[in-house]
Amino acid sequence: MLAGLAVLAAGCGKSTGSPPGKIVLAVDVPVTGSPYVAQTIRNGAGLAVDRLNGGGGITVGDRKYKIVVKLYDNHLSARRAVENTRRALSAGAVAIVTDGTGVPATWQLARKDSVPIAITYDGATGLVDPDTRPNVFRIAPTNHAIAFRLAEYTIPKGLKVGLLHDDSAYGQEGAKDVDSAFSANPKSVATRMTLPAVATDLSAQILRARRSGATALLVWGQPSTIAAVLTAARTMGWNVPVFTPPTGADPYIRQRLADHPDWVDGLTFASGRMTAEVGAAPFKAFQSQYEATYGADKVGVTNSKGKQVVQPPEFAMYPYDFVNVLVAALTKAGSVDPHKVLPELNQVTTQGANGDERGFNEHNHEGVVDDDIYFARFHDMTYSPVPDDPLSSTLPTIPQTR
Amino acid sequence: MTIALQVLVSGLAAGGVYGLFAAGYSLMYRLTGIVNFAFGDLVGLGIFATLLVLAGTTPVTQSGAHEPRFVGALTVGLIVCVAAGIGTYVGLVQPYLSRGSTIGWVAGTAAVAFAIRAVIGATFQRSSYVFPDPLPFHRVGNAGFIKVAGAQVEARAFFVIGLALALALGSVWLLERSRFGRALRAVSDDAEGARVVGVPVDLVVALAFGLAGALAMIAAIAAAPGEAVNANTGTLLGLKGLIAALAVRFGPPLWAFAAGLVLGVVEAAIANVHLGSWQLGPSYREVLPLLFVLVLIAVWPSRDALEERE
Amino acid sequence: MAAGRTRTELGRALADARAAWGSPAWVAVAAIALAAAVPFLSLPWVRVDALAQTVYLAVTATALGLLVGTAGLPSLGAGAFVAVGAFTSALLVAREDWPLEPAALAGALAALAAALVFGGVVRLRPAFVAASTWALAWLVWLGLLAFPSISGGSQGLIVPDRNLLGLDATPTVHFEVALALLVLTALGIAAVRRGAPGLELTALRQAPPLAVSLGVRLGRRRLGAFAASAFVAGLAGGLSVQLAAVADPASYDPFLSFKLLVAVLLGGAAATLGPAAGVAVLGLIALASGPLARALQLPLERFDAAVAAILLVFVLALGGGGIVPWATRRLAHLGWFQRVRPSLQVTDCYKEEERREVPGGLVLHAQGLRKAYGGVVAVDALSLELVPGEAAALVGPNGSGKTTALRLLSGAVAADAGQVVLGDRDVTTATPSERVRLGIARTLQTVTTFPELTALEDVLVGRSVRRRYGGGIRTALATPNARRETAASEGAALEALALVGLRDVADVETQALTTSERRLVALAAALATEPDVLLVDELAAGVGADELERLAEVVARIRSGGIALLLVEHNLRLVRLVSDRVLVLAAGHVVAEGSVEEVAGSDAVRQAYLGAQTL
Repeated sequence: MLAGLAVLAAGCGKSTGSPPGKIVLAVDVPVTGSPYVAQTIRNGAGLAVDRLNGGGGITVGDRKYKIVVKLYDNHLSARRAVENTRRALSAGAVAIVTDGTGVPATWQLARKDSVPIAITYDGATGLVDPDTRPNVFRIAPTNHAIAFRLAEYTIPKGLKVGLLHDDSAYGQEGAKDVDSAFSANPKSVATRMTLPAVATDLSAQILRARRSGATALLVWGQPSTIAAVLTAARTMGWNVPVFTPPTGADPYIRQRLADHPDWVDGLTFASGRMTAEVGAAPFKAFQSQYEATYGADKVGVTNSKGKQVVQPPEFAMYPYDFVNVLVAALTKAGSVDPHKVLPELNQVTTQGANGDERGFNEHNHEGVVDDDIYFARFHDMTYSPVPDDPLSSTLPTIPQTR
Repeated sequence: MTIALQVLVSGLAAGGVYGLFAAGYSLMYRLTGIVNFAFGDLVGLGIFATLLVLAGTTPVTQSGAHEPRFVGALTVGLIVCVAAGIGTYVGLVQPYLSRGSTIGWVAGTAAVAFAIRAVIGATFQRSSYVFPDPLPFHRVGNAGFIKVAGAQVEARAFFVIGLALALALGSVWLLERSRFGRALRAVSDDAEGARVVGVPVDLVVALAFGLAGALAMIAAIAAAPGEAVNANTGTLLGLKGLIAALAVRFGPPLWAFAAGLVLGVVEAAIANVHLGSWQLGPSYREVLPLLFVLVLIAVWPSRDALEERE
Repeated sequence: MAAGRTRTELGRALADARAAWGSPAWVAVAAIALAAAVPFLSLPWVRVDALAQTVYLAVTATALGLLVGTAGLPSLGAGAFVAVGAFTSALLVAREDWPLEPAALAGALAALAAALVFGGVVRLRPAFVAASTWALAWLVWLGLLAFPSISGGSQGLIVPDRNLLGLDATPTVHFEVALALLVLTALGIAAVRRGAPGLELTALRQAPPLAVSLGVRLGRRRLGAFAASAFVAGLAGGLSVQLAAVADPASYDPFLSFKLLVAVLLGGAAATLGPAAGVAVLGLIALASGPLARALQLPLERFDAAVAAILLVFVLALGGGGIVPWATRRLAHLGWFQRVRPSLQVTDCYKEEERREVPGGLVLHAQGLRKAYGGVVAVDALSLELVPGEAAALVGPNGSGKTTALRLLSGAVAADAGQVVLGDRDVTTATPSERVRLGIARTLQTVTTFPELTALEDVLVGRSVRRRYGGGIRTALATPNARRETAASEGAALEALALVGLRDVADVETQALTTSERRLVALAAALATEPDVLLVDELAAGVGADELERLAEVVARIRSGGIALLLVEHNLRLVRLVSDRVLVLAAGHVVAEGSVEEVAGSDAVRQAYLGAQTL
């Protein structure tokens, strides 16, 4: 009799009867201020959440949960990020996905409640430190990694690089990493310059760079600055190779130079690899899933054969991957209590959207490591991995035309 | 020398646009005694209205100019800019002016400025947009760049300078010779007297507001293809025009135009000054002129800027 | 002895306070107590940190209300001072490890310094003030963005945890401190508004030329208001930045300045608590924009800011003088909030001021004054002398330079050549307000009174030049000297009104008086400056024949006090009634001078008037 009751009770404990609980995932992004970035992160996280919820929700412990996404707008302001973090914490968020704004200020707040913060865009140095900031994680290419890989790629070629950066916050951050990456090889540096971010034309500065004997240009800045540099160089007949961080892949550059595809040819950027050793299939699956839900991201230009060029959803992978890692940690912890979940984040690994293993450990909270940075070069308005870099030469080209 | 020439030409081109904005601010002040804080953003509204008609909110490329819709889109943009300018005057300036409430029109025009900026930023997602070139400058020289005395200068820069000068001188001619111009001068001398004499003051001023906006927008569009356009473009152009107009204490529009030219060249110079390896740097580009004009007007105000003592 | 005096003063102050205490005061205390209790009520939708930030904003807005409402300067730069205060405080706390209180104070001082550096803008016309302060807001914001070494770059400066007044600086503590600051600021602003500084600023706002001619120092008063509002803004910024935990440039953009100005406008610039109410309304608009955007089915939250901005435009377009004045009017209908006027009893502390020693000779001596505008000579070779108690008249056809002559004597216009000597001092280069201080006052031809003041208040403006304890800080703290002087000033103002025969209309708004009564009020205001020489422009303009006797009596009374008068007059009957001497001016030159009879028969005079009326 008692045993029967116990069985009944155990049966009632199972989630078949009770409604699924709610897990709050806070997404704090610059909806006002950088809407495209915000959109990308929100879509990436949303795609993962929809897939998980659509499968009936996730099982944590012995209860089913559905994930609820709460969106906050940080206006690219650290102060708003702090306010939003306070709100997210009082709403019971189990994790905060952010572009990176305000993390130096918000991590301590979240730390008190043991809530993890995941940076999925900003690669600035100093944001992530597993020892002092155990609740901060990042899945995005880091400025440090990109700068060092760029140095590693260009210096052996014997190039004298003109190190240009613009005066935007992004440019100034990156300049520090670039300077330290090239500090061991001062002979490879032809000149260093700051470019005005809102520039009508940079002919004067590029002329100066050319005169300094540069045989390559490294431009760390906003897409508009990169486009202006290309324009200035090509119109003075200087076919110098231009290397950039991920902003070089921004559609703006190709839109601006739509009439001169040959100017874009040879532009080489560094970014996180979109495909893994297992091949392009996982990423392509992710891409078709993303485009089915949100539509293809048209660049607005056509290639020489007249086909529409689209932008692969590279940065959307990162929040997508984090949600999966988080869910794996929740499942392993068997509880939605952040104090129990946070340590598990250092233990789990999942398969990322590109097929790579994604995970963290006690000493490394960077989801994209230095070795994951590859180079791609533009040709005919689309880009493909370069053949003369050990990693990049192994990667396939992702189709970018429709 | 070549770098100096490049600085001069690109500075004058940017300055021509600032100058037209400055002239617009001066004109509106001399007519009504108000400073139209929404001026820059109204032009930005016109620019984005053009983009909207041309391609919705999807990306536009440089070659978008070849489309036959471009002229229609430009016209729509101009109409939007002018209409919004007139609307601002009628709805948020005139009522407060007639009540003598300075803080009213100050807050009203600033509100319009922020509202426009917010709407543009919300509708257009990307951080910068390409504004197609209405004229085929890319066919000139080497893809739009020509060599002058060893310097590489944009052909469009000369066009912008010439256009700005033409618009400025044309407005001065308009003020001197035409009936509309005479009415404007009458209003700026003595609004009440002009009203008594039969000049339709409100109509004339509203038209002037719209006209100022149209002129500035034409100049801005001429210059826009050279740079990334976003929600802040109009705001910053307006700010720089305002600084130039302040520097001449809202004097005659032609002086304000000249001040705008000077500002453009000074800005370009600051961004490019290299003494040996030391660079003043673009960070000072906007800050120094602002600081200079503020100190100028605080320490050395002209008689018409001073509060009336008699 | 001193202790006894202090006790008497305190007793007197307490008695005053108890007399002024009424139901509004009890309501205020209850409201404050209720507000202070809110964080402890644990209401679910209430976020204390957001509330605290709102109250800090209200503090800044309240101080801004003095500048915008009373002084009439539309400042679009309040946010710049908040930013200066915030970043100074953040830098000191984060990099130099200062405690919060001195850091916030340093922030307030830095903002004050910035206000003094750019303080010259307060001398400009309101449109220029708006444009300059707008430029200042942009300068500070762009400067912060451009120099990440100061501003910490895009991620800002992290402000570590600190103690505030001995307690751990939690949002609740910040809220209570902000509330206390709001109450103190409101009390201070209210006191300043009621006192001499407020009156002078109001006068400067309503009719600057008239106020300046009464000796009010425009630059100094307005700069005081500007600096005070900057100081409070800096203090609020310095404290609130610690609550925000990070100082980043993006939060201190020109939109903040704009928000503060709109708050003042929405809530009512004329009321002390108006700006705070305006801040609350702005908060409500921001809260409403979210659901409204959802209702309009606008995608993504990015339209929230746009909807809020558009709502603001609509609310502003509706116009109106602000919420608090509207509410006060409604409540006044119900019998609350009657406008409490300060009592008009003259205390026995008022003593007759000793008449200043005037040398037995000339009180005013002008020689060879000349002024030309472009090619037109308005006045040339003008010389005149006045002895105490004398009344001289300056007559002449229109355009003969009479008003210019008065302007030259009072200093409103600088002479091209010549000298003006007052008593034994050469005042040729002295400014108008200095000359008023030295004893030469003037009434204006076109503007006689301040449109929104009562007759007593109008005359009190004239008293301001003789006040020694009328400064902003003394008034805000209601020091005994300030209070005693205020009572004495009112007494003196009433005496001046009595002298011109308008004692009974002291409480009447000047708008409701007749033109001639207004001219007499202007005369009383000039008399209140205790001049030795009084320059009167067109006293009898618009006056009927029966009133001339009355005016002559007033002039006689003024003369008997030892004051010399120079009257510019068109009404020749009044000239005959009151003046000892007449100077006839034509085309800028004195063509005749002498007693009334002598001048009346002069051919030159008749020629000058071209056969117009005879004396």
